[in-house]
Amino acid sequence: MSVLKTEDLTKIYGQGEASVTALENANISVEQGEFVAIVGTSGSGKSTLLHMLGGLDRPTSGKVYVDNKDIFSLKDEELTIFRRRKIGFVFQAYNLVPTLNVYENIVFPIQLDGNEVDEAFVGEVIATLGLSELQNRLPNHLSGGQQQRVAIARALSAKPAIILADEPTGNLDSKSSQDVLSLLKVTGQKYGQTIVMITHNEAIAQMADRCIRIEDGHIVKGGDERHE
Amino acid sequence: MNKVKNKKAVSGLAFHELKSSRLMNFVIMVSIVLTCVMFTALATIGGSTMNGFQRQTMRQVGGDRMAGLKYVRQRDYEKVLADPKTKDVVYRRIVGRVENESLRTINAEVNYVGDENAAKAVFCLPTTGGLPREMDEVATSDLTLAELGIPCELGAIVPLTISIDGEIIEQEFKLSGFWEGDPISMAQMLFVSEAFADKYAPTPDEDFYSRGATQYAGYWQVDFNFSNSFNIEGKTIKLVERLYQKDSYAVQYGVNWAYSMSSMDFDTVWMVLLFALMIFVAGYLIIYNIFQINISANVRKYGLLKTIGMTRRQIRRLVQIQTRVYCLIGIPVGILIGLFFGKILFGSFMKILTLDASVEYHLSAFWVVVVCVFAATFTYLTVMISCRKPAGMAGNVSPMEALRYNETEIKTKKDHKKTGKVHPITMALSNLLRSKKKTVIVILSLSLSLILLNTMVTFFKGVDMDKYVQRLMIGDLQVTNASSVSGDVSRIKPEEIKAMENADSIRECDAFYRMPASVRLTGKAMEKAEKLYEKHANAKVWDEKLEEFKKTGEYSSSREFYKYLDLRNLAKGSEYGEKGVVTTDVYGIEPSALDLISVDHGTLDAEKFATGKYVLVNTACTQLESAYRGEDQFYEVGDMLTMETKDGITKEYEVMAIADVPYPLSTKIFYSVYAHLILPKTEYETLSSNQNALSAVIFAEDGREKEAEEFVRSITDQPGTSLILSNKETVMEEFEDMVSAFRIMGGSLAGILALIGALNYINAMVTSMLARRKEFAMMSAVGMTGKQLEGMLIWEGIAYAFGTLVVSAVLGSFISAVLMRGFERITFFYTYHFTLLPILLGIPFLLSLAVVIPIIAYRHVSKESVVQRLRENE
Repeated sequence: MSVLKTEDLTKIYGQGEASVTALENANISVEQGEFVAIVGTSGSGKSTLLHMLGGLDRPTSGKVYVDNKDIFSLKDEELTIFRRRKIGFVFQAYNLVPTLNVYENIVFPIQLDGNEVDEAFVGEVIATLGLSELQNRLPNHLSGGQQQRVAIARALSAKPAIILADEPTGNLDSKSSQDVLSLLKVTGQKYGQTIVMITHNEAIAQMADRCIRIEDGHIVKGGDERHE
Repeated sequence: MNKVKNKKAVSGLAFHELKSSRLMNFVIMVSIVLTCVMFTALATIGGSTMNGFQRQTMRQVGGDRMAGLKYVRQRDYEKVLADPKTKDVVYRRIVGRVENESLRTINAEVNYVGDENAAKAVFCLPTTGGLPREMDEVATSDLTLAELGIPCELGAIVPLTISIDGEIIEQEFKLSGFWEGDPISMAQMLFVSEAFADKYAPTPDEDFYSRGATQYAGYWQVDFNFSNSFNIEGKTIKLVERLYQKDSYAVQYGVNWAYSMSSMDFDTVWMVLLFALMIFVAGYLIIYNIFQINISANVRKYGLLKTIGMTRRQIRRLVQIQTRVYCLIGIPVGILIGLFFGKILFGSFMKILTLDASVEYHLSAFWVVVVCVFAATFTYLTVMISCRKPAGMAGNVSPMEALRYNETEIKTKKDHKKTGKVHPITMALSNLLRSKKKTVIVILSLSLSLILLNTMVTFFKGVDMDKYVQRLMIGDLQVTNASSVSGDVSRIKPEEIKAMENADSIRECDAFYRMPASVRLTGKAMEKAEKLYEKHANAKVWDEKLEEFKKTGEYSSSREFYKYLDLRNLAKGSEYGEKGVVTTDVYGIEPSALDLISVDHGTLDAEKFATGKYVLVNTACTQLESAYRGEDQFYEVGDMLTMETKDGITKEYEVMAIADVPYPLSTKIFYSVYAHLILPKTEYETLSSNQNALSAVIFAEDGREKEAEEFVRSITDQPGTSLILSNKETVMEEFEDMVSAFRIMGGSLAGILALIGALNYINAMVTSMLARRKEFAMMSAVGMTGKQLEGMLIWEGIAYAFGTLVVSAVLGSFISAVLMRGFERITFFYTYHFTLLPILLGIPFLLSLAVVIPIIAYRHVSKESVVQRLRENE
């Protein structure tokens, strides 16, 4: 059963002659527990696809189903809540809250939901990502790799069904990139989470179970496993 | 160094940049406009009020020229006219005063004026008809005509009894012109023709002082202006020295107190500068803050410019060019809005509320230009100084760091923090603490607006019309003697006092009795007088000169000389006066009238006072410069004082307090060195045979003022008396214009300041929202809902409001207590009241803004999708 599915997803920026079609009739389907990489050159539409998968941006037409729910039928406020429960984001720029320490950043989405923190689970995630020593640090005193590990821990902490990662290693050197990716994959498997990751690095894409290739707004390969 | 032609490239880029971020430009411009509005409105409203106040005082004084020479002759007039520093020189020739019985309550002076300018200078230019030309023509005000019972018609017959240095001339005149008289003026004018003046009051050949300084007829009053009203007295003294080479022959001069009390003296200049400084600091903080935010939001852009080869100086220039463009648009707009508030709005308020005086509360075109230049200069300086640091910061950006610049990399010294519960409140607080400097600046700038408002309100609340009127009037009604001739002026008979005391409509009637006497200084008091002589008389110079004067018979009339003479008489004794003897007025009052006495030192004890063993005393040497006031207070509380009456009775009293009778109830005559003593009436009666009272204050029963007035009028209107009845209501009405002018001015300024404070707050919040777009996007990407974000922002707003309350209450109290209290000393009609009410009233407004503004601003920001905002600057 697919946990994430799109139906003729299209995104057009601008209007009239100046309009740019960033994505056209994209149909993908991702199974529970899968690790999928979306690859493509810059401007190919891969970020647009990912943002719409996570409900950060609304499509011009088409639908996105998460757990068989049409997420764009939700209002903005509901969508935000849905997102923090079901989807964890990892950004290239980490996007940690500068005034919160490592631990607070990690449990931030849970607390936003008003839920009690599952200390055992969060502790395990922190230990797995090697952040136990850094829990009280503020983000600006961490290295890039450490910050990205915090971002991953944050994405995992609310036990989301899906983790969406936008070039998570884009700002990291190759050693840190390897570490972060391995951790992402290991934790994904450990907690049975589905991971969709954007990259333009072929070597990194090879670590995924499946590669979706996107060119000029069209899915050219790997959109839906069942069709292949 | 080679000169590179890169200016065009830099300025071209500057303009492109300006076009690209419209909202930010708008916010910066608004802050510049607001600062400029503050300067302009303050300057216009302040200026027009000062102007209006000055005009009112001038009307009272009866002249608009800055200074004048008194009792001089034609050759002096020509000298003044020829002097390069004087302008608008006019003259009047003294003829005499009108003695008609029906004019006894009016001080009516007869003069000849050279031309229409001279008439205008004393606000007496005929509006109907013209100045008299024929021997039998006269021009005067409608008020004088009304008192005389003559209709306001040209050619009407005006019978006058004119006293010319004691000589009485009775003649019938024809009315050649009249004008609207001013009830608040101290004297009413009658103008006669040159022919009449030449015949009855020709200018004497000898100067005024050679003839004993008692005959006034025929002498000229020469009035003039200087180029500006700064330090008029100093300029006048210099002029006299210039014209008369030191003291071989000097003249008496007068300075128009309309200028000295409301214009460019040092205290006023200080106050104006202080307010300007407060506005400057408020403006600086706001503009600095906005620039700082703008530049840190654009750090990547500057880094980019550097990577492609722009130098530090060029980037600084880029920011400066942009700033100048902001000024170029913002300052004119600010001035226009400021003038609109300050001139048009204020002016029309004035017109609606006080019809009469509105004309006087306006600024001439010249002053409007001055105000504009002042506001423009100050705003420009404020903006350029504010942008210096941010511009430098932009220039110092390191390119690689800037390209990697990320909100999370804001430098803080702390590297870790205790884990706590995440909640909108705690997040809001840590957001404010994250950039402490910015928070402090926002709070300070908001506080300054509030403090400015508070100070203004304190100032205008303190303007005390009662105090102002007290100079003229005490109680509901007041009976005094019309004649200002010295000698025995006590004319209110005991039975009249009794009748008033017993009248049903009168709650209290306090009579003031007065007799002449002398005080003989002894002991400590004498030592003080001697010290005063040594310190201020400058005897070394004058002793010699006095010998010369005695030989030639030409005395100096300079103030210095009179001071010397007075102090010498007092300390050494001379043919003019016995050593240590001070001319004294002894006042007798009922102990119930003690509360009308103004006390400088010591406390009044009615019981002790009633025993007759104690005295209240005030001594002064009038020629002493005001800076040394107090040194001429010869007695201290507890000293013994010896007094001698004209009948030769000598008595000793203990000084209970340093205090004086209220001015309007006194004889209003001040000897060059004098003492005023106050004794209880029982004691006074043992010394004086005169039973008549000098003056009386009447307090009516509540609601029966009219009745009381009618009763008192029945006494003062008896034929043959020379008593004057003054009514508090009438006096108050006469000053109503001024009172409401002050209220309107205070209200308008406070309103503008409050508005500006609110706009500043909005501006600060909007800027902060704009700069934090990306941060908010990131928060909502990880699942913070709009509601939660708004909650956090509202808490930030509340924290700002609370911080502002604390800072403005503390600083506001300080400024109020230190500065505004000081104002009480320098302005007689000001009473200090501590108030923080405007600040407290400002808080609900701040709080509601704190809730509304972040929500509106956030909603505006969140129109862009999360992705768009996240991508910004990438």
